[in-house]
Amino acid sequence: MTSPEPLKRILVIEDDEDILFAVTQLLELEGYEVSTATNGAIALDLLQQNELPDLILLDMIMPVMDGWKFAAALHQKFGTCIPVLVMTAAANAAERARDVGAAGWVPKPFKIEELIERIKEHSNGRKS
Amino acid sequence: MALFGQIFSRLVQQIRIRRRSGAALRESHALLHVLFEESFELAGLLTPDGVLIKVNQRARDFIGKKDSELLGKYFWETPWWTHSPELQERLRAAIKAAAGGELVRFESNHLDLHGELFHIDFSLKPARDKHGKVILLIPEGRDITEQKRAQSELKASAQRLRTIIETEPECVKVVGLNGEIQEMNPAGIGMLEASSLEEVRNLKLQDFVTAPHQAAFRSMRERVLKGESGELQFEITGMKGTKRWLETHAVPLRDENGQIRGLLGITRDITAHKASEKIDQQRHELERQLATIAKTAPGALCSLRMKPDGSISMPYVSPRWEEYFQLSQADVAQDASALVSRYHPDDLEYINASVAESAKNMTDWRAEFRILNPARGTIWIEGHSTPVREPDGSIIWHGFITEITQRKRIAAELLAAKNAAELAAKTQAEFLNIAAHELRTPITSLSLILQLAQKKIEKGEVPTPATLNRLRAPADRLSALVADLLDLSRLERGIILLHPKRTNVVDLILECIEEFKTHAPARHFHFEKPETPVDAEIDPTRIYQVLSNFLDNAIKYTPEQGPIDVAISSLAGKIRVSVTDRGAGIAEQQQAHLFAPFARGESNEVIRTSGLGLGLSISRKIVELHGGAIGVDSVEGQGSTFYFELPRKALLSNTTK
Repeated sequence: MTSPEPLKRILVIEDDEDILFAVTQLLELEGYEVSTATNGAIALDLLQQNELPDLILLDMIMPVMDGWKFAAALHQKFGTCIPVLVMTAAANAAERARDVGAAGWVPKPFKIEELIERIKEHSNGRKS
Repeated sequence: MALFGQIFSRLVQQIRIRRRSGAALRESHALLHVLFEESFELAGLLTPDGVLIKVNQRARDFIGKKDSELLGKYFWETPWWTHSPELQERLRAAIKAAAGGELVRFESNHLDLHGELFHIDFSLKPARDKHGKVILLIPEGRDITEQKRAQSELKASAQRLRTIIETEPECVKVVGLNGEIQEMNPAGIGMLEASSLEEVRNLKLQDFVTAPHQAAFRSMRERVLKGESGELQFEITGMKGTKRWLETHAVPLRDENGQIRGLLGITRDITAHKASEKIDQQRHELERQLATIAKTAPGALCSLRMKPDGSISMPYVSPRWEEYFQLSQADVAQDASALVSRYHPDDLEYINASVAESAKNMTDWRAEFRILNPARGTIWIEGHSTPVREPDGSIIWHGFITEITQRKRIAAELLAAKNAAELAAKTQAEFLNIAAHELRTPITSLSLILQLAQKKIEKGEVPTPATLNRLRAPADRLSALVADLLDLSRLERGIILLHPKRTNVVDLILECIEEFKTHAPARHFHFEKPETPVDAEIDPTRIYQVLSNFLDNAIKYTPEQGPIDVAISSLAGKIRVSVTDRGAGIAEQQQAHLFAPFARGESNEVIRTSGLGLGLSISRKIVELHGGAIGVDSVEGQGSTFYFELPRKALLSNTTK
């Protein structure tokens, strides 16, 4: 699989270290540039200090700052220019995605191909 | 009167006819004189022209005069007659007639020498000689005063009796041997609905008697005709068809020879009495039935009257009503305003509105409400009633009231049970949802790490031991979760038993803190160790589990540098252990849900982390099995204190020793 041109840099926000590790490795194998944060607060810091990513993968349940609070802060500070994909183990994933104004969701557990599919779907909808 | 006259005439005749010797004649004369003089009646002799030539003793004594004052006078000028000129005239006419050969007789009133009035039957007879010529007139007077008075009294009495009988409201009748009506007064004729005696005369009385009374009537008649008296109440049908109840008293009527010729009956119309007797009987019967119903019905009967001015009274309440309301019939008979004081204040408006609506539309009243029974407290009752408008504009409700306290209680319990069941079902569904969520997290880790390894192998790389090591933690967590689920399930189902023994809880706390220090050496635990051991009868393994859960949570929620405080205190018969963190705290409305399985609050905002799910539920169960209590005090933004209290002496349930 070749690297998709329009969308390269992905921020993964996930408190579970094992999931964060595996997702990062898998996306890098696919040619994405991945940055990580273990909660929403750290992620906001990253966003403020670095170049903005093309897409954000967001876990919902996290200590310190969870997915809901992060999404609210993100939209407040950066608008809706960065598409957000929610990663959730909840049964009502679609509802959660809608709640936080996300572009889409991936239900946990997922196959990496599924995740990449979702990422690609949103590569064109991105406003730079 | 006549008797004396006859004897006298006969004697005169004998004298004339026999022409006896002078001695015999003298003897006869003397005899005649005695008879004449001693007669009890007034008697005398007149010449045909009315001159008194002889008068007897009785007649002289009557007026207290002597022969010398009387004889030789015209009879009508003597004191017997002088009191009344009218009478004198009548006498002169009588003398004239008698002189012409007639026998004259009349009754007249005379005054004796004392002025007392006598009634005299007076007669004047002519006496003739052998040629038929009138030679003497014989006046006779017989005192009939007594007889006259008796007659007049009899007549008056008969008249009075007749008047009484005629105007008597009771029927008086004479009935023949065969029951035929012979005499009947107007009252009786009225009872038979006839217009005159002629209409009913000779009709048979028994023909008026209604069929059910025929036999009794006949038997009474037979008894009376045998000489007894009889009495009977019976019913008749009048000639116009009206039925009447009569009460009759009958006695036999006998002729002069003592032979029974019929019967005399006096009969009273007792229809009204019978009717009221019947009404009384019916009323009595109804009252008895009402009392029985009121006593045995599973509720209370009552009548409530509302006058046009809005005032209320209760003309009838049954004993059970009195029980419900703790008011007596007398309390509400005239003025039922006391009733309102028994209404539950919260239902007062509702009751008044329901009654007003029933009164306005004249629709059935039905209400369920609470009353305050001074003896039993609040009771629920249900009332049914239909309003009836009275002529004076009042409305009266005859109602039935039952107590439904029990039903209400059961309904409330059912509702609570239903809610509990629904909550349990919802909790169950949530539990499954959250359990699935909890299990998915480690499964996701395992899946992604395996996918990574697979991708690397596909690219000809070998997965590093570090990558494979990452499989361990989520796998452990998965098995721990499954173990917790089983643990909780067994605790809930009572499969897990406690093994209590005397334990120094201080040592237990120290041991637990030591273990956490090895896992999290950077953490600062603060525990003020009491000088004396704190013993309690507990299952040390299980209480250690609770302590671990508290400390684990505290570590998760407290930032790295924040201290964690552990404390123990003992109060009357109990020990209390608490763990305080400096975390974000928990909103008050979430605190109650913390100890339910997987509960992390219903709102997404407070779901902060995974892994909390079953720990507090298991802890609660363990503490409860010890007979203790678990809880949390928390202020948002300042941290939380989780604590448990245990009885020192086992109040244990679900234990083995």
